[in-house]
Order: sequence, then C-alpha cells, then structure tokens
Amino acid sequence: MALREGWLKCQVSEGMLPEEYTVECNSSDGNTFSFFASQEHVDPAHELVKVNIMDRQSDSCLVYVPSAPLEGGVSRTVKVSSKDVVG
Amino acid sequence: MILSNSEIFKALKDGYIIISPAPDILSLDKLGNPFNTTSLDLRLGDTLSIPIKDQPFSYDLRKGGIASFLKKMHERHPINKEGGFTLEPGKFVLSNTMEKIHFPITEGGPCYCARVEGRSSYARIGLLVHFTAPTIHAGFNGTITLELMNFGNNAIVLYPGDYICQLIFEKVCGEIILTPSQFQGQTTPEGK
Repeated sequence: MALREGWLKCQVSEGMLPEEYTVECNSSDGNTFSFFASQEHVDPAHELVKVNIMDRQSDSCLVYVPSAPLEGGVSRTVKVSSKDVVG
Repeated sequence: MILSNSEIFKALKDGYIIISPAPDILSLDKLGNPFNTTSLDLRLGDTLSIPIKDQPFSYDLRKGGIASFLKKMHERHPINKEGGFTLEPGKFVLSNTMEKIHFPITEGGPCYCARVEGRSSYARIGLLVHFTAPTIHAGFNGTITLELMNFGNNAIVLYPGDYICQLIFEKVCGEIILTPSQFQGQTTPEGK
C-alpha cells in the first residue's frame, strides 16, 4: 500500500481560497491539467507539487495527484513525462 | 458503518483522523459542542471566493488551464467578523471550513473517510453547503471546500466561525489499492 512520494514540476499560483494553490501541470501527451491543492502538497518556491509515484518507465511516469484535475476526463492518476518528476 | 461520536473521538485520539484545530469533546464554546451523536460539526472559514460578475462565458472542461481560469473569474473576499456576509437569494459563492481534515492512509491500521453534509438549521432557510461532491476520501489532507448557494427566498447572513456543515465519518473496509501492480492478473473485478 505504501507508495513512493515524488514531486511533479508545475506552475503554481494563488488559489481561489486560503490554504490552497492553483496548480497547472503537463501530461505526457502535452495537454495541460490543473487543480487546486492544499498548501501541504505544494512547494511554491520551486514550483513543485507532491505526488505519489505509481509506476515509472524510462520516459513516462504514472502519478497520483493530490486532488482531482478540473479538466473533463482527467482522473487523479495521470501519465506524465519522467523528466518532470523529481524523486 | 457510520462512526458514533465516541468512535470519532477515539480515532482522533489515536491519530487515524486528524483535525486542526482539534475539536474537544468536553468543551463548550458559545455555539455549543461540535460533536453530534454520529457526526462532527465544522465551522465556516473567514474567506469567500466570489464570482467577479455575471459574465457571458461558458465553462468548457475539455480545455486546459481550468483552475487558473476559475481563479481569474473569482475574487477573494474576507467575511466581516461582526457584520458577516449577506448571501442573496440565488447567489453562489465558495468558501472552506476553518478546520483542516486529514485522513492518513496507514499500512495495517484503519483508514477513514467522510461525507460533508449540511445542517438542518441552514437547510430550513434554504442554504446549500455542497453540491454533488460530498465525499472526503481516505488520504485527503486539507480544508473542505464548501459550495454555498442560497436557494431560499431571503438573504442569509454568514459569519466566520459558525458551525455550517457536518462530517459523517465512515471506516474504510478492506485494503486500499493504489498501484496498478496490485491489480496484476485481474482483468475483471472478480479477478478473472
């Protein structure tokens, strides 16, 4: 059950409400997905968001993001580029 | 199975449910005790997110960057501690709970989740506190976003710190599977 934690490169800006940030990331197919994440999950100084790494291949990574992306059809499990994942 | 107040308190004490600031089952503030028989009341935070104005656009969730767009179309508004915020009939705003909730996923230990519900007093005057997403999943960590809508005929004054919603807690039954490899060999829910 224990998953490896990692950090995903993203763009971070102020959230709609206190205690949260607006987070924008890119999936491996080049599309942008975005969500609101609580402060505990975000490193705004380095523009990183904490994720659980579910699977790692040489060029792509399957990650579980801290909250559901708003874009239709995107689940919390997202395939991203390995070079965007730290850790 | 829904947790009783004593089970909620036990899970809080054991660290399987973390709420900050922590509710105290023995103390009473001016608004009473947050523990009901099978739920815990949570308070309204001190900030609203209000749509900037009625603008002629459509949300298209198939387009990227929705979070930034939503942020751009709303503005933060502190709720006046003395005068409150008047939510007019038919109006919709976002806010969050004063309390942070954390349901850690612990290996070998129990896991919990919850559903956020309204309170009957606010329901009677037409206030909706959430729409179709009441589930606070195991692993969640943060404040709970409230979707506040006045369905009544009269304005409703909202104050920060008022008990505005309640959490119904449930114990998760069975192991939580998070990695695809844990499903290995299963092509159907029955494992065939």
